Amino acid sequence: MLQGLPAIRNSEKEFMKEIYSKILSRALVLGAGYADVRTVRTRRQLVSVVNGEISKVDDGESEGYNIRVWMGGFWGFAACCGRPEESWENTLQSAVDVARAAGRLEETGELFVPEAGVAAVYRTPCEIDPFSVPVSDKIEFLKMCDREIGRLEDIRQVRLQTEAVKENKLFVSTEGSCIEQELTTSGGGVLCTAERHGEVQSRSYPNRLGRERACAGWEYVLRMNLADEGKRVSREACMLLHAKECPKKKTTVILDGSQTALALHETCGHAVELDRIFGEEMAYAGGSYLAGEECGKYRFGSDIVNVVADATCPGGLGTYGYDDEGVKAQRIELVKNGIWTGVIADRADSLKLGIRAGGMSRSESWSSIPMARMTNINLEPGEWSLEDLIGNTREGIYMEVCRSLSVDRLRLNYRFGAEVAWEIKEGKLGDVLKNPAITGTGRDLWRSCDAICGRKYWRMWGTDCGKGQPSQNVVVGHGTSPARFRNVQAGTY
Amino acid sequence: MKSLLEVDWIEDFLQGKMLTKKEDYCQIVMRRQYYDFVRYANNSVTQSGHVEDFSLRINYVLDGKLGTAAVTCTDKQSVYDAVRKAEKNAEVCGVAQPTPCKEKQKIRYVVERWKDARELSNSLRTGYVEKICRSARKEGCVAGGYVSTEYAEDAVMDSAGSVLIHPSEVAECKLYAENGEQSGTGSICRCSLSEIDAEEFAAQVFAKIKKEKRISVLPGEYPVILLPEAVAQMFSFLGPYAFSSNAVENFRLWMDKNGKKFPEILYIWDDAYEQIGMSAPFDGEGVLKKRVDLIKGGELRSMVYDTRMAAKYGKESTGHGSSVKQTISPLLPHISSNCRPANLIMMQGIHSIEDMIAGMSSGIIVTAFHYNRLVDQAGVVATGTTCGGTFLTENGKVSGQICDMRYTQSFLEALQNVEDVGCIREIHRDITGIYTVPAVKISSFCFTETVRGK
Repeated sequence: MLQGLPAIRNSEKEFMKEIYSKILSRALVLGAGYADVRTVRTRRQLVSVVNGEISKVDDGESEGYNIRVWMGGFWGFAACCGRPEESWENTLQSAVDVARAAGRLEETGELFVPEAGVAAVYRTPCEIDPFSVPVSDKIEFLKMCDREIGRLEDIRQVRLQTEAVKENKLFVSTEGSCIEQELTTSGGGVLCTAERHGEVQSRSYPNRLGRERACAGWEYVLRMNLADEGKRVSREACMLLHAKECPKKKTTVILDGSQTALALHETCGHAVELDRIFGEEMAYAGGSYLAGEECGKYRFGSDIVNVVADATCPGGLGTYGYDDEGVKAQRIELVKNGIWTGVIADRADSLKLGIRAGGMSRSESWSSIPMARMTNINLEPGEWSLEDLIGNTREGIYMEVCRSLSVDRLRLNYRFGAEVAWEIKEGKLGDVLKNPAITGTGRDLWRSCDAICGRKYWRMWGTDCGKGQPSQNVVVGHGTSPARFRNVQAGTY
Repeated sequence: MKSLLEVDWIEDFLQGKMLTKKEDYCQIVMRRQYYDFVRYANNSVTQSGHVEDFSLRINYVLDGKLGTAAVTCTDKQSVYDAVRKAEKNAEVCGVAQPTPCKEKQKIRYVVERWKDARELSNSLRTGYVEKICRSARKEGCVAGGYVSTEYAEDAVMDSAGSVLIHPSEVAECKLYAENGEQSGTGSICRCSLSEIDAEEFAAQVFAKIKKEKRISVLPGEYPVILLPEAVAQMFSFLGPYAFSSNAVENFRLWMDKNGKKFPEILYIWDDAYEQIGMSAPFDGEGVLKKRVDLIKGGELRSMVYDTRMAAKYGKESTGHGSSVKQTISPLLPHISSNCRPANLIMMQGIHSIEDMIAGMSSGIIVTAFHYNRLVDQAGVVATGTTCGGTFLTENGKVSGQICDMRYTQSFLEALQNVEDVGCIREIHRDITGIYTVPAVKISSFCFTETVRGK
């Protein structure tokens, strides 16, 4: 049954092979039409230095496994911490009980898009294993950055941090799959907060709250240039204390890459999730303003808007080899020349829409059920340089780095605040503006997009994304470059 | 099921035998939980599952520096190795941490186990969902939500001989329903699922949903009645950003600028003992939680402290060093203390919601909020949209459901503008804590936009 298991090499893994075979065989005996087992070990480390002093050193590990069984048209899911050797029989029985209890309501008979079994080993590239760097070296590195950033008069707090996560997963299924993956992510950032006469302003680098991560090793943090960028954002935080408020008006807005990524995440990525479209997430995360039958016809954005879900994108935080249902990572078109063309779906919902599974079913951990999740949702680059784009804008506002975000239940109405903005007058950046925000609908925003910066300005951004009940947090990536939007309602938060 | 304390190394640990030097201090924090849930959408079960989780964290204080380590098993060798790792971490990368007074720490506080929630069958949970879905179909509504039960056991012990252990049980039902025109939402939280009447709960939600088209209301400042779920959501921001000593470090300057005056009618405190079946009466640092009056007599009275913040400001810890992530699976045992009130309670008033509506010439009733985010930490200003039933009142009567609205509002100012407090309290829980709160009437609440539909 498990033709993939020779990929597991050493004796311990041979022993595990027997366990997994037993679990899957027993699941079939108990009446499952399909079963899979997924073990996940996750190590997370966060080191932060605030005003030159160690603030946090969190270094935790979680290990566990889950068993999913498909019985009578329903999933049964059970998860247990630790390793399966001693507890798998109870866990399997729990999964079966859960499926049987669900199945007594009504039998749907629905299954999911089948996949051929696969044996594979996948690792994200990593030059320097972030866990091979001693915590003391990380602290020293952050303290050195802090010293270089220094303290301007109004700066009250400089927070520097690094994060690292390593996830080791093994997935086996009755389809014959055996997939071993190691996903390593690293990141860091700086947040500078200034205060004067009770007014507080913050600036961060590279992204919101001084956080940014990618599928990479410690080398990613070393290349961030935290000290120099920290000096810049420190100056900007102080400048904001003397800046005027962002004017309330409909105007042309240029969003930097990170703000464009945020808009893409909230108003495109979530809106094309098929479970939302089907109303399956309505109770908590919400639904979508898009209707399934409109796929392939609906004008999502202007002609220059092209969006893909690309789980194979190098360095992306949403990059992996296989999803948590054993489907290979893929690149899927979501929006082509402004027309909505694709969805984010798991295997079961893909069947309902009659499409092949796109490898986009993911879960936060061993304890959570896989569901349709974003991977790397990327806005394809255009041709412009940022300088030309600003130079080509007679009047408008340029905004950088997310400060706040909020979207309605249907992912249509948004309100995005930025940390800082600049007036654009006659093609030049002018005064600094504080507390900037834009508001409107995603539909109007993307249809008004008339210019996107080119490959040189395009980069991957990483973020957390919450969904599900109980809530699951997964990491996703967004490849974007700065983009221009016309006739957008700007104002203050 | 064995108790968390039934481990063969406990006496060695409690007598300090795992310490390298007797001056050192070591603490073990454990949590075990069993979580079962059934999710439903479109009037059918969509997901259900059972999760068992366990975490064990070691806190080692060496020369005033804290080092931590974690294991996912409880055998003696693993725990011993983790203690050594935490000691080494304290030495090379310890975070400044006051060592607890060992004499004070000598506590034995063990609560007997409650009824084992694991006995609750999957069929019973699914049965609750079945009743809700049946009611939804009868009402012509599409319903979604979840029913969950959780049994958890928290234990903290230290090398000074203290032992704290507490089991807790929480059952929750959540429901969101709509009929194509209007929507309704509800949430209920109790110690046991047997305390929740599924049909009655569903009926209260369906009563909010009528067949008429929703009215559109212009944005602006309106008097509002926030129903208890919306009040709980507001408190989930006020907890860390207004009532926690952490907020002082995080530029809680609003108080300095705008004073500390609140309406006399407001009485807000934090007390784990009033929610004793649902959460432990001690924090993740092994300190027994104190009742803390936050707002009383029109003034901000106090804040909550963990050991680090207490040491910094010359106070005693109030037992509020908790970790939000510590309570949902996967348990992440190394997450730092996150000082916040997690058992917020508000005194009820004398008026029913109907009385409050009758006393309001025109205004808006908010059932709940959606996608709330802080836009200004210093003033606890948040933005989000209303959801699950937003209503217009005119001439003391509800005139109908309106389109959802976006708000952008300082929650501290909203508290200052409270005019009346409802007489019935509800318990709501999210990952930030448990809230026992009534509805409140607020003289002015800022709605910035009307949410546009498809």
